[in-house]
Parts: sequence; structure tokens; C-alpha cells
Amino acid sequence: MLKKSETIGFFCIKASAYAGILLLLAALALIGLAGYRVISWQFLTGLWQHQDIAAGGIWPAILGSFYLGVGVTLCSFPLGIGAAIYLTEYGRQNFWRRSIEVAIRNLAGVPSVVYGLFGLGVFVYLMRLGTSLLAAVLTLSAMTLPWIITAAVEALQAVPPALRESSLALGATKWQTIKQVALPLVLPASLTGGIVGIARAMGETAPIIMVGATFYLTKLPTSPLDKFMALPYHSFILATQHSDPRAVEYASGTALVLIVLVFILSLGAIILRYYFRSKYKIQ
Amino acid sequence: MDTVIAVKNLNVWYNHSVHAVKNVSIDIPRHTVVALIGPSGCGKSTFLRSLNRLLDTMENTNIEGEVIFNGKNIYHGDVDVTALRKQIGMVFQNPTPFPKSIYDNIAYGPLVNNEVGGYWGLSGIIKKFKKRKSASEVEASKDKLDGIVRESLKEAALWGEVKDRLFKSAYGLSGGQQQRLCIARAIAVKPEVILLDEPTSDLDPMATKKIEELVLKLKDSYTVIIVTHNIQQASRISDYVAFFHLGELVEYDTKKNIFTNPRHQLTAAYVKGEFG
Amino acid sequence: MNKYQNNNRHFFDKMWRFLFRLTGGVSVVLLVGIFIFLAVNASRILGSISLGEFLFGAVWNPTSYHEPLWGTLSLVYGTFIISALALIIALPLGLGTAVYLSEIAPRAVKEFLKPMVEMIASIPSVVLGLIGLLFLAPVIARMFGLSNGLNALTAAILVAFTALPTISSISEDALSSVSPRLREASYALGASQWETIWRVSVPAALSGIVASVMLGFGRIIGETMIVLMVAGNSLAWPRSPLSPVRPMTATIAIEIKEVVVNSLHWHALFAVGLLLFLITFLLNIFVDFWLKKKSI
Repeated sequence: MLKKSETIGFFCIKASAYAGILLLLAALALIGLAGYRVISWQFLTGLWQHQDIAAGGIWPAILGSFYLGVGVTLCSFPLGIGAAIYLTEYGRQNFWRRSIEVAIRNLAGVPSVVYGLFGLGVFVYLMRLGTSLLAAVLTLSAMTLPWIITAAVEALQAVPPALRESSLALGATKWQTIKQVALPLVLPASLTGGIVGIARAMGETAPIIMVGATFYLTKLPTSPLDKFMALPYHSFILATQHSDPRAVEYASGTALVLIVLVFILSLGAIILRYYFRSKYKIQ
Repeated sequence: MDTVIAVKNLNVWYNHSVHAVKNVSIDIPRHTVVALIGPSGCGKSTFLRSLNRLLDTMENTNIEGEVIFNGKNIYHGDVDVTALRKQIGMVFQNPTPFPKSIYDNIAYGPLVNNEVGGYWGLSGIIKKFKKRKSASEVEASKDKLDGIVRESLKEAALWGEVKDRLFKSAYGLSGGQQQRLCIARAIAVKPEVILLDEPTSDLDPMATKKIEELVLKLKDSYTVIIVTHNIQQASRISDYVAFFHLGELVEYDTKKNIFTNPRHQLTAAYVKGEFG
Repeated sequence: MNKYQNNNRHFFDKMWRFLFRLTGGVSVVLLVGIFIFLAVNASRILGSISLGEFLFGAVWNPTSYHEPLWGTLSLVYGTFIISALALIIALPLGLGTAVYLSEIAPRAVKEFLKPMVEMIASIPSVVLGLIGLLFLAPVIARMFGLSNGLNALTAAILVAFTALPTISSISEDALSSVSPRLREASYALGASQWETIWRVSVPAALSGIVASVMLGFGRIIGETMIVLMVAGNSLAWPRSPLSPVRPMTATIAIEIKEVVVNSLHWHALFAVGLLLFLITFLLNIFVDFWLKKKSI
């Protein structure tokens, strides 16, 4: 017994919900179509050849993105979780702590170019690391830190104080309490938050444009101070600045590999979240 | 006895397995207060929600049987559910004022039921701003909506307390006042029956007393069905009492009989406070 | 418990306390350092460029042969055009998705769609830019009879997709946390589902919805790759949504590679970065306070 205007209204709502998703899926499918032809074993594992882009492969870019991902994980996870624990367990409940928490939470909203500028000024020049893998890892870690810290802090604050008090009342030290009580509840959230952050970091182009990614590499990076290639940057250059008429196809192929990678990570995070949610729901 | 609602063999299932209401038949007489009592989880609230088809909004519920309201089974296919709900109103356990002003809370019912026109769209917004009148203006106003708001608040014994803050947020009221606001809101659409689902369990004794007085007054113009956990409350305000246990209607009789001379042993035990 | 065990426990406790202090300190220093670093570098322009010219000058042309111009207004305006357009697109789509997911969709559909919307958020912006280059720009060009489709509108449509998941999921959270009793009360008065959604649920969740829009706006402002690839990169003052445009983010990304380190241009770019930082950071903090105020 719906009024006619309401039926139209409900239809519009449903349409808008599906429109975004469907449009995007369609667009991704189109990219897939545009680029799938270049995907081959050689494309995925060969070294990049400048003279003939059909002859080489994007392995250096894949490796570079992989190094970035691993590096960012190694840097930002310990720092992030440590900072979260420090802020919630050890900090005093005063104005400073609260403002730091607010500041960190809001740094997650700062544009990636700004982090790129920061990385350029501090890591590349001030610390003399030059445009390198290390500089990029540090820059992207700085970008990921607010995510991890916020996710971990939220998880820590959700731990009921009664749990902590019970532990301390039994004579445990603060560290033991954290290890036995808080950490097991924190790790799931930080893990999922962290994976999302890393997927984001691997998809970022702007900061790495500024601090170390390159298109012209003849050999694989062997030290953290080398320049490196990365998937998003590679696709970007192929799409916008390469003169070969087939470049766009290769850009699509590279983008396809990047999308698959990022989606696998995101899917993993979502699955993890469901796994943890079901595991802890019984409590 | 003039019956306003006749329930015949009502059965309600949750999730295809939980039999929440078991074959309940009951006749509700007009202009009385009927109290539904029984231990928690015995189906009283579910039963109540089946009377204004609010169960329709919950997933996975199955309903069988008939609820005859004014001669027609409300579960019949061509019944207009929103029109039905206007005639059978409901007030819930926790006060649920809308995030609007006191005035707009009361006005909501008449507006969505198109009893007062001209409040949608741009002209509606303009009218809304012009509406911030003082208490005496609303008191004297001949405007239909003003009249409805004024009379509903007076009937709910709330007018005196809120007339100077009609256009302020409803959240500024105390819990008891909010609950009376919800009652005023329900009677603003002039229902025939008012369903109350444990309306005073969250309120302090003073507020509870005010609401019980209100219920006794309302009986003149409406029929009230009230679910309550409080046996003393049932004995204070009801005319008829229905005792539910585990989804079944165990006994239904006048208040006097239920409390002084119950037919079932279970009923006797419950009203003595032996369980629940 | 003998006295050795006791000592060990306390030692570990102290050690971890120190470690946590250290990591906490490093993180905080890092994050505060961003602002300080930007500010210090940006302030170096103060000797040569007046603040008035920087903030209100209409032309940005640092490499001009005759006289370098440092007005960021056209950059800010470019950011604004794209952001406003993107928000106009993202808001109804995002809100509609949120309403659908929380009020209308059956549970099975919701469990499936919600992660899908989140996956949209993880799409790298360079991929969206590629989609724009390959598919959207030619379509826009044909639709409006332009030589190419690289302009503010194209960019705005794609940028809207980066904000859509933000607006949708935060609004959906806000709508889901509205007490179901409120909806029931509305139904009990004879209102229809449509009326209940727009007259009760949405107003009750309004503070969360507004917050989601502001956060989405912050995300839109900071978008770089999409605008680099499809917004057209013209420094001329944009005359319409179909003009090519260069917002602040693209300016920084493009020019920083060509610039001499520590030159005036270099510092000016840091100043633009500081401007961007302040806008987004303050927007986020404002949302924080807004939410905190409304949560009572």
C-alpha cells in the first residue's frame, strides 16, 4: 500500500546504492579488458626494457611494491602498536594526552602529497637518504602510522576496565597485564587496520613520485638506498608520459596487477575481521 | 459488553521455531483498562505488538489466527496497515521522543496521517518558522494543528508543564515527562485503542503515579491495554486482567476475581508473588 | 615466590615501559614534526613573498620569465571546484547507499554489499585516474563537444568515488545506531517506512551523517593522482566545470620534481603544502569536536 511517490523514492535509493558499485565494477572490468592481453609469464617476471616495452616485464615494479609493503609493515606496526599502548596504558589522562590522540586521529586525513613533501624534506634531504627505497618506506610508514595507532587505541579503549583491574588485583605487573589481557584483544583490530593501511600505502603514487620511485631502472634494487620501481608509479607513467602507442595497454596491464594485489589484501583484511569477530563473540 | 478487539486463536512464531504466543483468544471490552501480566519472556510484549501489526516490521515472524478490530480481521490482505496503526496507538517502555521539539513531536502523527495539510515542502518549512508562537498564542489559536497539539497535551496532563517551552527540544524533559509526551503523541491521532508496553518500568515512583492517574482518565475516551510487570500496578488501575505464562493465556477475568479468587493455581501463585 | 622471581618481573616491567615510551615518543615526534617541518620551510618565503600575494593573488606562475607570480587563489579555486562538484555527486550516492543498507536491504544483501562498498575504498587512485583517461574522458569530450575530456568535471566524477565509501559507511553506522524504538514509535503512529526514514531516522542520525560528509570532503580535497591524470593541468582561471584545472595537490606533485632544492619556488611549494595541511587537519579536528559535542 505504498504511495506512488514513495515507490519512486525507494527505487531511487536502491538505484543509488547499486549504481556506485556497479559502475565501478564495470569500469574495473573495462580496465581488465584493456590490459589482460599483456599479461603473460614474461610480463610478470621479466625485467623492464625501455626500448621495447613489449619485450620486458614488470617484475621490478612488483618487487619494488613488495619491498615497500614489507618495509612499511616492519616499520609502522611496532611503532604504531607501541605508541597506542603507550598512549592508553601509560600516559596520564591529561590535556596533552588527549590532544595528542586527537592530533594523531586527524593526521589520517591529511593528503598523501603532504606526507610526500615531508618525506622529501626530511628523509631525502635532511637525513641525506636520497631518493631511495628507504626514504619511501619511511614516508609511507609515516602515512600508515595514524591508521594503526587509531585502530589500536580504539581496540585498547574497548577493553573493559574491570578486566585490567582484575589482573592487577591479582598482583600482576602492568606489563603482564598488557601482555595477557590487553594485547590479545588489541591485535585483531590492529591487524585488520594495519592491513587496510598497507593496502592503501601500496596503492599510493603521489608520495613515492616525490621520494624515490623511478621509471628508468636497469637492475633490481639491492640495497635500501637504491632507487626502485613500483606498480602504481609505473602504471602512471605508462599512461601519461610514454610515447609508445601500446603504452596504454601496458598501463592497464600494470594497473590490473596492482588491483589484484590490493584486492587480495583488502579481502584478507575483511576475512580476518569476520574471523576475529566470530572468535570473540562467544566471550 | 461492547468488544473493540476480539483475538481468535492467535499464534506467533519467531524464526520458525520459537512459539512465542500459543493459541491465545481474548476479547477486549471498550473503554476499559486491560492489564496483561505474567513473568518476563512469556509473550506479553509479542502479543501486544501483534495487535497493531507492529510484528510486521520484525524479520522471521509467523502469525496465524485472527485479530478482529471493529468487525474486520486486521491480518486480512487488503487492510491498510498505516491506517490501522493510527487507530491502535502504542507507547513503549523507554520513552521514545523524536529528536524534535515538543510541539513537533505531537504534530508528527497528524502530519504523517494527512489530517492537516500544507506542511510538506517549501510552504511547510516557512510555516514551521512562523509557528514559534508563545504559549498564550497557541492557547488561543484557531489553527487546526495548534488545536490538536494543545488538546493532546492537556489530555495527557502535560500542558501546564511544557506550555512555555513548546518549541524546545523534547530531550530537555524528565523521563516521566517524556513518557507522558509519548502518550500525548499517541492520542494526538485520536486512536480507539492505546497499547502500553510496560510504560513505567523505567520511571521513578512519582512519575509512575502520574502516569497511572493518566491511564485512569484515558479510559473514558479510549480503550487501554497495558503490559505490566508490576502486579500492584495492575491491581491499581485495571478493570480486567489477563495472566500470561510461557506464551499461553492462562486466565482472563475481572481484576477482582484474578486477585481474590483466581481459578488456576498458577495464577494464584503469581499474584501472590511466588514467582516471576 | 622467591625474591629472584620478583626482581625479574619488575625488571621486565620497567624495560617494557621504557620501550613503549620510546616508540610512543618517536611516533608522536614524527607526527608533530610534520607540521613543524612544513611550517619552517614554508615560512622561508616570508622574506620574498608577501602573505597577501600568496593567499589572495590570482595567478600562480613561478617560472614566468618576467616576474614570478605566487598567487595561490587559482589553485585554491581549482581545488574548490573539483571538490564541490565531487561532493555534489558523492553525497546523494553515499547517503542513498547508507539508507539502503541500514533501513531497506535484507540482511543477506547487506552482508554482501557492505564489504563491496569498503573494497571501493581500497581502489588505488591511479587506477581511477586510468579509468578516467581511458573511458570517462572520451565520453565527456563527446558529450560536450570538447577536444579532450580532461577537465574539472571528469576529475570530480572520479574523485567522488573515493569519498563515496567514507560517506556511506560512516552514515550507515550512524543510522544503524539509532534506537529501533524510535522507528517503532513512528510506525505505531501510522507513518510509512519512507516517512519514518526521512522524518525520524535520518534526523536522529544527522550528526553522524554530517560528520561523514565533512570527512569525505577532506578526502576529496586531498586527492592527487586522479586530478593529475584527468583534470587538465591548466593554470588559467577555470571558467566552468568543463575547463581544465590544476588544484593545489597536483601543483605540488608536478612542480616539486622540477624545482631547485631550497630555492624560493621550493619553499613556496612547501607553503602550498602547509595550506593544504591546515585545511584538512582543521576540518578533521572540527569534525571531532562536532561529534563529541553531539554524542551526548
